[in-house]
Amino acid sequence: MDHNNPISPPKLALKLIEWFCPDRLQEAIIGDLCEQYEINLDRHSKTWSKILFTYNVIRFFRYGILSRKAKRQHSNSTAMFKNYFKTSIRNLVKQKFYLLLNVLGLSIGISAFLICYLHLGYELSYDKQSEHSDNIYRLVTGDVNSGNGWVKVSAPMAPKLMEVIPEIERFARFESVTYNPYITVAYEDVIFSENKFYMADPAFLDMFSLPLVRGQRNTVLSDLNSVIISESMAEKYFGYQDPMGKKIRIDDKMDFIVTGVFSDIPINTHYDFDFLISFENLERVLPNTSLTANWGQFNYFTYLQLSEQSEAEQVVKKIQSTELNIGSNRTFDLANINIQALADVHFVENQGNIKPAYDFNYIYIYSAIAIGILFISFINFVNLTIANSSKRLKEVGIRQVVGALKAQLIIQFIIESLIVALFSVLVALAFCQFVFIPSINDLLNSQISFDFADPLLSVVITGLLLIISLSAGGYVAYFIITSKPVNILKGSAQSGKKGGLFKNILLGLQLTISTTLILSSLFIYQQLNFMNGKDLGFEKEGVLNVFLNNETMQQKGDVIAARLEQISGVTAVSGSDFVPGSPNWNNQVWWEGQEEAVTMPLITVHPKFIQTMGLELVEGNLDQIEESKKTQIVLNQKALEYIGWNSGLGKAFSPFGKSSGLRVDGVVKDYNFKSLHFEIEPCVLVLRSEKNYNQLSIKVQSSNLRATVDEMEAGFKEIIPDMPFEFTFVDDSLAQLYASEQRTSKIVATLTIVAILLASLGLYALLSFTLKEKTRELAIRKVLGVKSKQILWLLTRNYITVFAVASVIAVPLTYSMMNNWLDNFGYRIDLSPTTFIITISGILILISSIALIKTIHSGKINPTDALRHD
Amino acid sequence: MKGNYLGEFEELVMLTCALLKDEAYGINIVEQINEKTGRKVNLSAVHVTLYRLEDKGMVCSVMGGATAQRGGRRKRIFQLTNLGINLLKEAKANRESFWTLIPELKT
Repeated sequence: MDHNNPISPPKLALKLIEWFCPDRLQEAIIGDLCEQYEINLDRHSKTWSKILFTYNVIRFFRYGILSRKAKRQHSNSTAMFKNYFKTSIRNLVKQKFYLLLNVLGLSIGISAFLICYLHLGYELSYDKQSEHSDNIYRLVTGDVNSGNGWVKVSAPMAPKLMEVIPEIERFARFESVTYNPYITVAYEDVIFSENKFYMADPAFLDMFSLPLVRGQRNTVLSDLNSVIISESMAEKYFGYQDPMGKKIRIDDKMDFIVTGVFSDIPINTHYDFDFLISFENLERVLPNTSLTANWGQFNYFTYLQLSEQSEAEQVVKKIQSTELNIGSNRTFDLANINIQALADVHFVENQGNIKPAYDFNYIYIYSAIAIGILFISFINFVNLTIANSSKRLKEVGIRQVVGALKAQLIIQFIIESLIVALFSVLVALAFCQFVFIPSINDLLNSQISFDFADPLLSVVITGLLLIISLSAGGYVAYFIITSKPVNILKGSAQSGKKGGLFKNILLGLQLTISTTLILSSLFIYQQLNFMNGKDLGFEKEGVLNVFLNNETMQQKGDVIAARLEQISGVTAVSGSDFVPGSPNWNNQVWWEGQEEAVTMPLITVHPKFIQTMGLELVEGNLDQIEESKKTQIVLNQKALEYIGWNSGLGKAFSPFGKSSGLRVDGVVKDYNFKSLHFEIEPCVLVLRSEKNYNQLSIKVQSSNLRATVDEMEAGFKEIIPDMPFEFTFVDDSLAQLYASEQRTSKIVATLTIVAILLASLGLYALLSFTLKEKTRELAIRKVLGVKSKQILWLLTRNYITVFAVASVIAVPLTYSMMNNWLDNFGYRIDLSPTTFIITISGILILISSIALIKTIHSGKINPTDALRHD
Repeated sequence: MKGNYLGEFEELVMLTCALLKDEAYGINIVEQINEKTGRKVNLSAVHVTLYRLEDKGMVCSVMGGATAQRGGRRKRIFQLTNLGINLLKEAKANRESFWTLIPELKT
């Protein structure tokens, strides 16, 4: 055999044994194997020798050999783990500022995510309190699923349907006891106006599993005169007294006995009430109603509970094909009646709902923003850690020299990230518990809270921890290892320049999100401001509405008005049914030469209303109108325009039948009687001096308001001493119309601040990072005499380019989004280019100033320190 | 001490080590056993046994010099320790004491 040119053993088998054989034993074993191979070559053919070699290698794959490898490593690692933990903690504590930035950033991201999770869970928890919730449906009409439905039906419908459709196990009807916004409730001399006084069939209690604190569920409402009240009402009216058996008086004319107390209705239900009486009282409390007739009066929420095994579709078919004989040979058509599952009620906006529905799009928007914020804070965390890691290069280098494996280094950084992440989660939980959850609950009127018994929450938190620590630690370790820390010991360290494009994309993403948010919140703010300042065509300042919440008060309305007018600070008093933005009464109207009836909104008010609200009369005589005792008609200009008259005065016009003989007595300038979401429509004011209005509109002088209001209350009490004096300012009521916009504005503003904070943090991290990378470059430049202005440009050049790209994306994005949103309003601002320019320049200044801070900082570095190692 | 007994194969390997002196390394031991007893043993079995004996302190090993053979890799040379030698002797004596008591088998 020629030893100088040996036929080498199979490479694959060699690789294999090198892989599994412990390093310590490898040399001797492979040597022996090779020697045997050479012996075999003499004895056998080449191929056979190779096969034998491979066979022998495989024979070494046995416990006696492998266990030697495992044992050695294991004992090593446990000791190492302790060491990692110790060095990690030391490192973190040594750099408190970085730790603070990291924990702050991460915890904000985690908080955003958790809040979003809780919010989603809360919205999905609506109407889940009942044990029957899967089988409850409500009767509706119209296209409910697309949001064009009406969610109430008539009173006799459900009992009739139950007779003919066996799947219906029971039904419950539900409705407020008054047409007015409020009703008075009195106990002895305590009297309040209440707006959550309802009546329901007794089955309602069991269907919705209403938790009763006092009384028996199946008997509390069996008596007509029974009322059950919420715990907070029991405290409000009876204090520490036992509420059971107490007598309360509603509307100053009907008495009810308290027979039960229930826990306050949680917010996550589609209904809300404080008082409940039996539905059998319907005819007694609401005039012109009937429990058995009036099939067309679609005024009552009606819930059906279907049997477990029934199918909703079948029931719908049965309902729609039911022919009802409603007496005197008339039939009632049910073809348009549908049912809506309880689970859908909260998510589809329909007319008649007690609470506004939740638009599910918000979930997508909030989730996207929350995940975006989490992602940004996570990227910041990674960048900050990497920026800070050059200090660790020596440590890592020494570890590698001493023999640390790559896997061990990765584990070390994962442990370090895990510690930071764990800390951030704790801070985030505290943030949520004490800051975010209370404010979110306040803002969105919800009751979210941490439920640590919820297994999913633990899974979410653990998952976040794992994802953050594994990916951040892994990425940082990858970055450090690929920058070859061993070299730093040789004196030629150069941190890697990997992922420059990736970093720029992430930065661009951050800047795009932040810019979009800043711009959006500015435009939302501008629109809200615009609506506040818009001339509505009537005076909203200094007008207040005093409520007359029961018949006694309404009958005395004129007397009260006369008394209040004598007060010096009061300019005018007028009865009205007008509440800004509340649904208007639509009526069919006719006019001269118009045969077909047209529907127009009708507002019934006292003649003095024109003066009180400061409406501007363009036709007609104000004195004459105020003197007149007849029913008078005043149109707005839009109505005139709609009809096509140049002048309306004296023309025949009637909202009460074709030939009522009424004529137009005046025309007023257009005024916004609805919210500014809607453009002004044709509108008819019906002036009647003889009517019991449910509120008085009062114009007061703005000076000495407090005293005027006190005087008004005194005057009011003179006439009806035992009734509550309650009022609101019209501008407050108007602000209510924009509550949802105010909310959106607050949420977006908060998110904007968070995004700006995080983006600044991210920019700071990236700049530190760049500075680290360029330390030597800058040092050499400084030695050669570069100015700090040039250094600034050197540092910011990249970011300004990225920001330019981000703006190019953010501006059109914001433009289309905001245009879309503004289209919801009949009166809207234009998106001014100035705002865009100012905002973009502002961000540019922010970027430059962060860079400036860093530049000044870097200016202090002594070039010799940076270059010493070379 | 528990475990200070020699298995049959262990004894064989140790005896071979003693025989080969400075040349007692893996493949040589395999060849030697084959030559002396006709038994075909696998290299891996010998190695595992040697490492086990080393753990027990019956043999010790040193790395020998590199040779042109084996691709320049060094050999691991195994030597008996005093403990190993004593145990071998003890084992032999034990057996002898049995053999003296059963002379009929000697023929």
